[in-house]
Amino acid sequence: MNKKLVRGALRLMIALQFTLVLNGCWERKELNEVAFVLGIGIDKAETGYTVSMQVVIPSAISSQSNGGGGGTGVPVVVYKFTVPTFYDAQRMLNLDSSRTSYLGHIRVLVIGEELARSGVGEILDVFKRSREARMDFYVMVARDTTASDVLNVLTPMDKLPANKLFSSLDNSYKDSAKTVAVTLDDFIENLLAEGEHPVLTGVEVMGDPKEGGDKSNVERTMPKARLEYHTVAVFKKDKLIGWLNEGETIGYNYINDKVTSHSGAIAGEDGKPIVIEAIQASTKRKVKIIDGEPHIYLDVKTLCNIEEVQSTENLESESTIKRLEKETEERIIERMQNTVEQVTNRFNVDIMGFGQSIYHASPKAWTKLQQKKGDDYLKSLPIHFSASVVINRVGLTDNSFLEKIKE
Amino acid sequence: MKSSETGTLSNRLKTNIDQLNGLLGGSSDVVIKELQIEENTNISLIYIDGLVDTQVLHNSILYSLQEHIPYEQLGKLEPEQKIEIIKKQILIAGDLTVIVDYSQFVHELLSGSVMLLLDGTSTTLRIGLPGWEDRNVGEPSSQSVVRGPMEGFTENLRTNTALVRRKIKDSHLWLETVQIGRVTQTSVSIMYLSNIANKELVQEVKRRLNKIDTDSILESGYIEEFIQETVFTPFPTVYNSDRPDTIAAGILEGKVAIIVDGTPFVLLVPTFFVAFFQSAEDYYQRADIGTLLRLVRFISFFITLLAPSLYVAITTYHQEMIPTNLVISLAAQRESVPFPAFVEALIMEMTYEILREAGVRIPKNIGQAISIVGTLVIGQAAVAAGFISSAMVIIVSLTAISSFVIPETGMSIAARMIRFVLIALAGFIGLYGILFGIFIIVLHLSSLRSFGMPYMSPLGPYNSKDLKDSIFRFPWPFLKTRPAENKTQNLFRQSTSSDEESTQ
Repeated sequence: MNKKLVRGALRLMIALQFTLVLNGCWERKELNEVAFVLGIGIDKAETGYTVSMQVVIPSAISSQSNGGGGGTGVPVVVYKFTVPTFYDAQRMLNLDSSRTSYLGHIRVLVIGEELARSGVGEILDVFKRSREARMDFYVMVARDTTASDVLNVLTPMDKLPANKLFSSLDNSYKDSAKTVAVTLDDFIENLLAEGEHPVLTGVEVMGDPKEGGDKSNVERTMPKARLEYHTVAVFKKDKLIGWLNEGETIGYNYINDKVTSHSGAIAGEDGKPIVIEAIQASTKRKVKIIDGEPHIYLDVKTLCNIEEVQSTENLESESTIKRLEKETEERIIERMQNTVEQVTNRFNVDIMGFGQSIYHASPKAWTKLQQKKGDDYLKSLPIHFSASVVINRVGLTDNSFLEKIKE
Repeated sequence: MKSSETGTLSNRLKTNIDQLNGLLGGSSDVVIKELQIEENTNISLIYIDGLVDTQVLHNSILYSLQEHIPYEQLGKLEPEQKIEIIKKQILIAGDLTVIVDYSQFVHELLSGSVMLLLDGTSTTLRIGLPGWEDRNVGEPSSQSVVRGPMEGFTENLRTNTALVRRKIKDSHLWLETVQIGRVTQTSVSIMYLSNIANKELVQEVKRRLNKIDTDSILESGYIEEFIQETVFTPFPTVYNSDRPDTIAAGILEGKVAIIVDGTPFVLLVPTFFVAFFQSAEDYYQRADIGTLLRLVRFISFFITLLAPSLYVAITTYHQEMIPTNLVISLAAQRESVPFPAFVEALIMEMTYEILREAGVRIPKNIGQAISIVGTLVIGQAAVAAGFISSAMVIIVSLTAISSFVIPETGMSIAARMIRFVLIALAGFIGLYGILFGIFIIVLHLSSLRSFGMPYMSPLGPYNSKDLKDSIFRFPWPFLKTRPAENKTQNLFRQSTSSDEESTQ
């Protein structure tokens, strides 16, 4: 009896194994059957949107390709559709392309300036909803141009333009602090967060965008069309309202503890520059409620190296180093102050997230502040800056050899 | 014929010889030498040609029988007394026993003894004079080491037991021999340390050996399959090795070795999963190297098991998991490949298995052909022709090489078999399928027993102390105890301050 039961159970289990086959390879996609969309550009059209999709042509990328394209031709193709919704664009791609689009490898999402000014919220839902797209790609705004033009430009170093946009934003953000790297996830989070507004880096097409799509663009030492990051877009809710210049962006990054490394020149005694680079920087933000009023305290700590010296100042003396440290501290504070001022005066939008810090520190104080001043709280918010700079190394030589150059 | 094998020998020499000739069908390798050493003393020497040392037979036995006979005495004596004289005065040296039983007589004859029959008595003298052609003790072929003893077991049971005894010179090293196989009458010995090995374990080994009822045992693999607990499992639950040091180490841990005549592969029970990732060399090299090598073996095991299936699953279901640049490069390689990744993986794995099998079976002098064809077919032509992507070639070669890292072939064969199932699961439902497969494997492994001991210990029933010498290899001064999983009588191998060891 028991044996019969065991045998029955075994048979049942074997039968159940076959159900594995029933799903019929659901969702199976071979690598050579999908079109990897690396960059998506969205512009405002008269009705709906103009969606551009930069799709990689694998055989043109790989050095070793098995009888494929053989490394000739352009590495990407851009599909452009004017559609009422983003999803329609994906479906229209099927009419045009031999492969199904795959959004799992999007590197950048470029938003045209016009669309950004009229609001981006509606178009972003599809990326959050789609199970294919990962939310870790960077979002940027095409300044003074359309997203489609940006995606059209071929780039020389990185064969894939979307990859170039991704990595150069990543590097510029880490090395110079002159841009902000914002992933879609961060962007949406900032849209939702209380007391904080989002920013996005702006990408510009330098030169003629019409030339950029031609293969000859990458066959020159000085490409006719180039993609560069210069400014940072300030959003109020989901609408673009203005741009921060580079100096203001650095201040913004210091305030928000996003500086990895950044360099700047301080004048020596003879007025010639000494370049100091922050190799480590961290900003502590504290909120104190004093007499019912929230105060923001920002304390920057940096570790610096001297990287370039054109001045003949004596770097061996401690007083010089102390002076340089002090001036650097002042410079950093000045940058932060300038940013806060400019943002407050020009946009009156809390991109620094002070409101959110207050909300986190004391929700009550935040509600009170909101009731009392509404969205204008930034103007009268007391902010206290402090910085401490330590110059760690001066490089391989002490004083510059400039003084010893013979007459 | 069977009936004539029982009973005792006859008094008459002629009857005995006739009966024997009838029994053996007059086989031409049976040599019957009739001698008349004295007027009324007829003796016969019977042996199987090739199994006895004829040199010694001629030089010493025949010589003694002719030269040292006390003729005056012998003639007057009864046959029984003559045997006594021959045994005690003439054939002094050597391994002599008296045999009366007929079946024993036949068995000893066929095992390579010289039988001395005397007319007029049923008492027979057995002269042990084994002298067949034997392979010398050579380097163990299956588990080679860089540092460590270079001697391996041979096909001769006696040599093998001697090799173990040379390592363990202890009165508690007990050896028991039984004959298994109705026709082959193969000698099977068990060896264990009587004061360490668990008594129940020894009883259980004996019980299972005695239960075997078969006509033949030609290799220890027969025994392994008869005594293992679970028949339907890809995982070996009995360890085998042709290295005397490995077997001696096992015996010292309280295990029981089963040595089968005619094969260099000695079995060791009970066996645990982790044992298959240990090599004798782990203990001869420094401890840190030993630990590192074990880690490498575990990693190789997982590569063998999982690499192709992970590749199939990730490239067909989870492309978002691959870094962008890599996925584009993989896509470029697959550009002209006509098959799905799943089929591609199966083709390549099958090709590799075929090549491997061919490499093992092919006569040595044309082996090179296989390697050239194999390299060209797999490595070059298939990729150039565009029906295999080069990434797949890398995966398959990595899998193949990893499978050789596991010291015991039984475990690597298990991994190779399961690999195909996992590839199929990956091809149908991706990573979920692999996880599903691994889940079942782990459940199965946990349910296995080797002579009543949990197969996965010390991981299964977790025992942190035993991890010292399973996944890691601690330096010898820290390895004070024997593995608890063997349930030994005496746990301590080194004296500890708190627990005084009671040695013999």
